[in-house]
Amino acid sequence: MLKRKTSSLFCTLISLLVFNSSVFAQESDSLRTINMDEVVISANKTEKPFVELTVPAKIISKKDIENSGHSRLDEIIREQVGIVTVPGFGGIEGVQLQGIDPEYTLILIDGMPLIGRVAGILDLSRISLGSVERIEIIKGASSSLYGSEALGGVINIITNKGEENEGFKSNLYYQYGSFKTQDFLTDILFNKNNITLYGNFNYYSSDGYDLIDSDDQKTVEAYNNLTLGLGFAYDMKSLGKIDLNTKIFRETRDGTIFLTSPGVNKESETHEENLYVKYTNDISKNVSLDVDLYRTTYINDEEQVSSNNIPNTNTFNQTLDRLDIRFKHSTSSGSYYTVGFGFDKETLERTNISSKPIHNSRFLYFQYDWNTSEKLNLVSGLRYDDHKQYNSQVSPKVSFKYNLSDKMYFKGSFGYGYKTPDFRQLYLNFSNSSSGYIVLGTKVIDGVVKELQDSNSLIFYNDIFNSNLTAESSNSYNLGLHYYANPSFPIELNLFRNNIFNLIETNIVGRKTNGQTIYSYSNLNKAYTQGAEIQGSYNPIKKLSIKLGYQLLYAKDIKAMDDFKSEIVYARDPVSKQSFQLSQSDYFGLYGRSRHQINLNLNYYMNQNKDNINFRINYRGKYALVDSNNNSYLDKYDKFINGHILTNLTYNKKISKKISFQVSIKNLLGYKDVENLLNNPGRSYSLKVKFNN
Amino acid sequence: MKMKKIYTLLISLLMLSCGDDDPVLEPIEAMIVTNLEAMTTSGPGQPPAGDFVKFSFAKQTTVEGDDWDIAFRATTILVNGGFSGASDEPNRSGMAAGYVAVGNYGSIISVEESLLVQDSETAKAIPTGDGNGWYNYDPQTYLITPIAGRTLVFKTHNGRYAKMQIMSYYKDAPEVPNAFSSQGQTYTFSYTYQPNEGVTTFD
Repeated sequence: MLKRKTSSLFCTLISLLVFNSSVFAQESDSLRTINMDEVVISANKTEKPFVELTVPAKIISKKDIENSGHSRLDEIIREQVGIVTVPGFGGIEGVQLQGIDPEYTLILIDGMPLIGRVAGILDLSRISLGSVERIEIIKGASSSLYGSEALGGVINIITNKGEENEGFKSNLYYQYGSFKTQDFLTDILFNKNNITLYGNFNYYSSDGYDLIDSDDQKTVEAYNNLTLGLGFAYDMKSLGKIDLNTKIFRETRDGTIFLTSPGVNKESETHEENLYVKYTNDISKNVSLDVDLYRTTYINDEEQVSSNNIPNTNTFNQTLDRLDIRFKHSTSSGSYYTVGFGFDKETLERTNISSKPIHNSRFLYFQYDWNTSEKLNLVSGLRYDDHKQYNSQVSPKVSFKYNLSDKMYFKGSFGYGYKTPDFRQLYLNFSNSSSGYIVLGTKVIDGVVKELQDSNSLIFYNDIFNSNLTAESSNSYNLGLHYYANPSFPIELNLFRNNIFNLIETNIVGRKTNGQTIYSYSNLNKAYTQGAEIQGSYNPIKKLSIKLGYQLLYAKDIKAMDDFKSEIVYARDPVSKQSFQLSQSDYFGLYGRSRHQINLNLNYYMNQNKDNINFRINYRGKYALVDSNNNSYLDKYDKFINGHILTNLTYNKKISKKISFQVSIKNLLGYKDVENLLNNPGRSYSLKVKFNN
Repeated sequence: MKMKKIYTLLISLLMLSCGDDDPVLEPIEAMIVTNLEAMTTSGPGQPPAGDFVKFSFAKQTTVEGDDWDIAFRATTILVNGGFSGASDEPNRSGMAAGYVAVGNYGSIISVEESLLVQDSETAKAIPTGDGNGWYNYDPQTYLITPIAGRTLVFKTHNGRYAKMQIMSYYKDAPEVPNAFSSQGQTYTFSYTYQPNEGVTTFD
């Protein structure tokens, strides 16, 4: 039944697009939605035109960002086809790509990783969109180039560094909106001859909001942050080009939304610093060299004052150093080799982690981009990561693009992706005294258990799970068909499947005589995500562009499927309290996944294309975050978060060459779900003034 | 604690046709017990303390003497058979045993005697802990929920059999309990007792 529904939707979408193509094939491409010159860096660690990519990818352009009226990265990311954000522990929302959890998507800024994953999730609202040039999204496992974390895919945020020889350029904007939200940005760019200088400053603040009046705290407390970026680039011609970047981010929050005990006050302060030195040199006609040297630090301090005035500070202090050196050797016919190597050094100081662990790893990777013929481009790569603390990893990837005709091509890829166990899973030594449990990382458990055994305070200890953790990994498959009715009318279909194994879960390993349960981590579960994504864009009239996307997703846990199959899963009627058996079709799948997602983006240009109205409709099908009937499976008798539509409307108006206005209404229909959608305050308004020079 | 007799199977036809030498089968008893309180005296996060509440299937009520079949304290259920356990557990003087069967309450129609185990030094007949025995614990909502499709099967202290399904761990078995406002450690369960010695079926 469900299947029939989706396939008919599919057909409608295709027939709609195909039918219209024949009618409007003559349309001018002045407003074409795919820019043939757009390049993507993250798919190959070197620039490659978007239309020539062999892997599924998506670009969010500067224009898309400006039209959206959004201020922060998380806001625009969740309007993309096949991407939703889901809350993790503490309510922070992370990216779910192809149905894969936020922990498993690598987030980069200018190719360098963002750190500071608290409970596995990166807070994308840390990134101001003000100085972003474009966002690249690569779907499917990409560990063959990036190593750990690139299991679901890679999101690379490219910051604005100006065009060559632009001279002096500056921007300034100020936005004010509901909940006293303020967003101020100024940037200056100077680019002349062989010198580039740039700087940007962003200040963002919000009063937060409250969805439930009856409790004594806000849903989102007030917060503010500032970002300062400075850069200097010098082109020494034959000696190469050197590029220095530094970024500082600072955020203060009055409290956090996950606090449940009354009378508790919390302050949270985040401090992030990046330093990035890049050296590039075209050594010869065919060989170029890239050297990346990067250091990033993320510090978060949470002050907690309980009602009886006992202060308590939780600290999280992570540092990553990276060196990545690579050579690119071009051969005739447009093929090229890339060889890279380097090392990572990562440290963490954190409350409840007693030692200060250091992880060193070295890596070596190789990629061959082979233009076998006019029709077939084959890209194959392999990366070796030598990890000191756990199994070393070999990550292959093969992908191709095959041109069927001028208008149609196939893309396909197979890749291996992995994520190494994080510091928490290895070194955590956490004891929750109020609800009586202990969580131990696998590297500290032996020592702690021995101490407990010596003092006779263990009732039982089960060491069958006590093995070294290995990386969580996946095999990812993508197959895509791209059809261009004309340049302004592309349709893309992508089928994906990710087989994920060795997922790390917490499980009970023992119990203390005082009743405290001891948890630890082990590689247990297997899961898969699979589905289809289709998107198309099209201009029915010159002034109107329409983009439509749909994702169908099935995401399931293998053990849960087996349990349903072996008929041991039951649910209970809440009223009669009688149990009844569930069948295989009652299993919904993994938490936080919606089966259907639709994104529609309408752009209407006015006044010689100077002004425009941008209207977006985002639909997300029902999903569930918890097992509400407590049978430990997500089944159709659980309570689901309703499917819902969120709409955003933006009006952009140019007053003069230098001044423009923007009015945004987010969540125009005012959809709210105060129990489940805590990041949605309802309808909000904002006004923005921009100056360009 | 309240009890309700749901039905009594009077096998009167059978009794009429029986000859004098045939044993007279007593009827099977099906009961619902509501709000049996089995509180620990210690605070949250502390190991449970205080007396176990002892229950007799035959007497259909809590008992003080040695004729108990099963005993409750917080989420732990003991059987009156096997290792007498720690100092705060009641002495096991009977021959009771138990196991957890997977299946609807109604579909458990006989006892698998080979599965019956007694409490031992290291494990209870009804395993303790989240997901192991009769309940799931949800660390997000702090709720204890009886696992659906689990039936507890017992041999009583004097060798009879009973089956039992726990329906709620909260007072008055609310439709949607709340770990903060609902009174926990308060059992509602139904059971079926086979009073005839040597008979392992429940129908």
